Amino acid sequence: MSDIIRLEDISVAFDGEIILDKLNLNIRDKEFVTLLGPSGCGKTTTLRIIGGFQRQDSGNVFFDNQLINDIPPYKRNVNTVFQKYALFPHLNVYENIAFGLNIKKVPKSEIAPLVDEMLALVNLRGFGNRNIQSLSGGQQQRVAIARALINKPHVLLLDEPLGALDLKLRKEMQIELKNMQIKTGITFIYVTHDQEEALTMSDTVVVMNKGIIQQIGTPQDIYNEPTNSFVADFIGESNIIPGTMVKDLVVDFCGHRFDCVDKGFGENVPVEIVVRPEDVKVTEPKDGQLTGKVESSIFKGVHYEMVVEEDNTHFKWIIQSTQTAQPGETIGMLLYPSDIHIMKGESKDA
Amino acid sequence: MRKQVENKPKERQVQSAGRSAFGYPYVVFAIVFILAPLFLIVFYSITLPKSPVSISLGEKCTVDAIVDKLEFIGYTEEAFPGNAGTYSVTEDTVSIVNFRENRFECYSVRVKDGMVYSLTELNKDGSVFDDTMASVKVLNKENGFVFTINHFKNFFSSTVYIEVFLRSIYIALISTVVCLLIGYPTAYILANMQSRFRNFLSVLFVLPMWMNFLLRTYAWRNLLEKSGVLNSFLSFLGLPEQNLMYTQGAVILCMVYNFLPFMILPIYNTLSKLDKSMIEASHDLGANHYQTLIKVVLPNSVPGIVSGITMTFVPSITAFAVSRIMGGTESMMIGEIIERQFKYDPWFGSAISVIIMILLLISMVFLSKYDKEETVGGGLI
Repeated sequence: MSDIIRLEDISVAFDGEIILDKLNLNIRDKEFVTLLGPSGCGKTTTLRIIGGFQRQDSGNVFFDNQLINDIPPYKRNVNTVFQKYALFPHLNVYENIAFGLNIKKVPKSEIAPLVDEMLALVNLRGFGNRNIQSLSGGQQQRVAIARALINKPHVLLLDEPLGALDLKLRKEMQIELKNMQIKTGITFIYVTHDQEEALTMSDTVVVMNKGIIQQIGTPQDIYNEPTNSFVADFIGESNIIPGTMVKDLVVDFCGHRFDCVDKGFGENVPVEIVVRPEDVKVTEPKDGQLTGKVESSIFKGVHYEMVVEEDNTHFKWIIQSTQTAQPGETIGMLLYPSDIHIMKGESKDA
Repeated sequence: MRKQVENKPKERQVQSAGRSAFGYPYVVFAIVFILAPLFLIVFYSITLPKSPVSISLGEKCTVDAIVDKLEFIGYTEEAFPGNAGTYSVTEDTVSIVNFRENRFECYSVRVKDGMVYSLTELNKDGSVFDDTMASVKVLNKENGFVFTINHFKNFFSSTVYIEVFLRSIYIALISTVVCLLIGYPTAYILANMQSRFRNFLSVLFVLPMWMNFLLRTYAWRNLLEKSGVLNSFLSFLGLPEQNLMYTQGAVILCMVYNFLPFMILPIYNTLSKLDKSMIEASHDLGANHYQTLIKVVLPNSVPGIVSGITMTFVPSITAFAVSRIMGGTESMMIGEIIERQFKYDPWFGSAISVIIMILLLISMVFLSKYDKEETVGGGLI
């Protein structure tokens, strides 16, 4: 698969505040790419630069190997689904969806079947004559998607499109969006701050923070092998523990020496260890590699979430397990080598 | 702590009760100062009062007309008038005994060639007391009023009034259209400006409104007069002098100047509140700046346009100061007629205002319907 969009050394600053700092990003054709990060990380700005609504201070944007820095948004083969949908309130559903084709002066007789096809794709058959104001949030969202997709763009940009929907609807729409992407074969670039959404839908996740890309990879890579503590922390909950890499495949933390599967860090190097809460096995105190005292235990539905103070270093672990223990009890904790992820050591506050 | 928490809802109740209590004076105000004058004007427009009849020398009139007027205020015919409140008619003369309680007053009015030819006051025995009178006032015998639609009939049967009325609509329409043509682009540019310039410019547009309306109009007169600023500048450049005053053009110019802020502000308001992402969405879907303006910005600013039109058309159709100061005879407007009528025939003046009120009401209903259709349904595309 070839690169459809290439961002080269993109920098943007608003009023002296750096939003994007020499950003480089290649997006492959027909992929579902998610830009993930906390608010203010520059993900929306990146999207707006691709859409042409925001001019970068420096750097180049390539679309299909063509430089498109100076191409206005209405000439780019890219369509956007906006955060607040930005539907036209003076037009009904049909007219909203047909807007792009009307602008391109497509004959009316050709527009009608295309609009019907789009309405069917987004499950809004028969809604053509409805007013925008009479639609629910989820329905408006679908109209916005249909309005963008009918133009058969090469790339569809989605700016937190599910942000205003309730949880159940959001989950449904996530699956629908993914299906639409597979069905249409259009490249989706999706911006969100919801890590679960990113992991559910994407082929590739781009984690950003403070205008810098932290990690690019498949959802599995990002979740299992975070490159730094920011990614580890942002993608789901995790225990990040300072430790020492004794040698390849052996790591020392919390006063215990563990076998692990990572190598190549050197010998006796300070590192950070990431352990996902669900990867900690709860055992009898005598069977555990570590022991700790339970501080609290909350029932979360599928599992219990416990905070456990480890006895040697008093590090507070978050553990998710189907087994539970009463606060004050001492439990054992067992870690398998494949569940221990090593990252390069960083200063504490990073 | 707990006490404070308990107190809070009570405080809120008291506040909201207080707030709605502040509304009552306004309701009273609305009834007294808005509805009462309206009622009065409508009442005036459909009634005719029994008021003293004045007859002056040289006035156009017939014997029958004088008799009609006298009978309307309760005078009765007698063969030889002697009692107060009676009259008698010979071939071309009406003799009237005025309705005075403690004094005998008898006038003889002679009509010739369709006008009052002579006015004489007589003694009780029929001899002439005074034949140098210019006018007489015949007092009411009966008081009260009658309902009539004659005022409206008079208005619509007079070509002069109709002409002035149509001209007023024409001038007001032209002024409104010019205001819209200047105001919309101005508001559009203003709304898309950086906030610093925007605030400065919007103050600049509102600034003339802080000056007295008449003063502003007189200032324009000074500019356009034959010996005014513009002409002195032209003659300084060696160009021929222009005669701009007392024309319809001058009236329209001054109207536009006076009412332009009322067009700009509501449009500017809607435009600056327009969702910017809607405009981006339009660009995104392939519409260039011009197409976006026509297909997205314009239809969505209709509410602002409608209130702008309302706020310029209504005052310009009823304005009288501008046309009086700036205009000549061929640019007299209905407002001037109303103002003049009110001095000696408020009943007719009221009728004209009611006619204008009905016209405005119809146009407002039409506009508001258009407004609704545009914002909800959408028809421009």
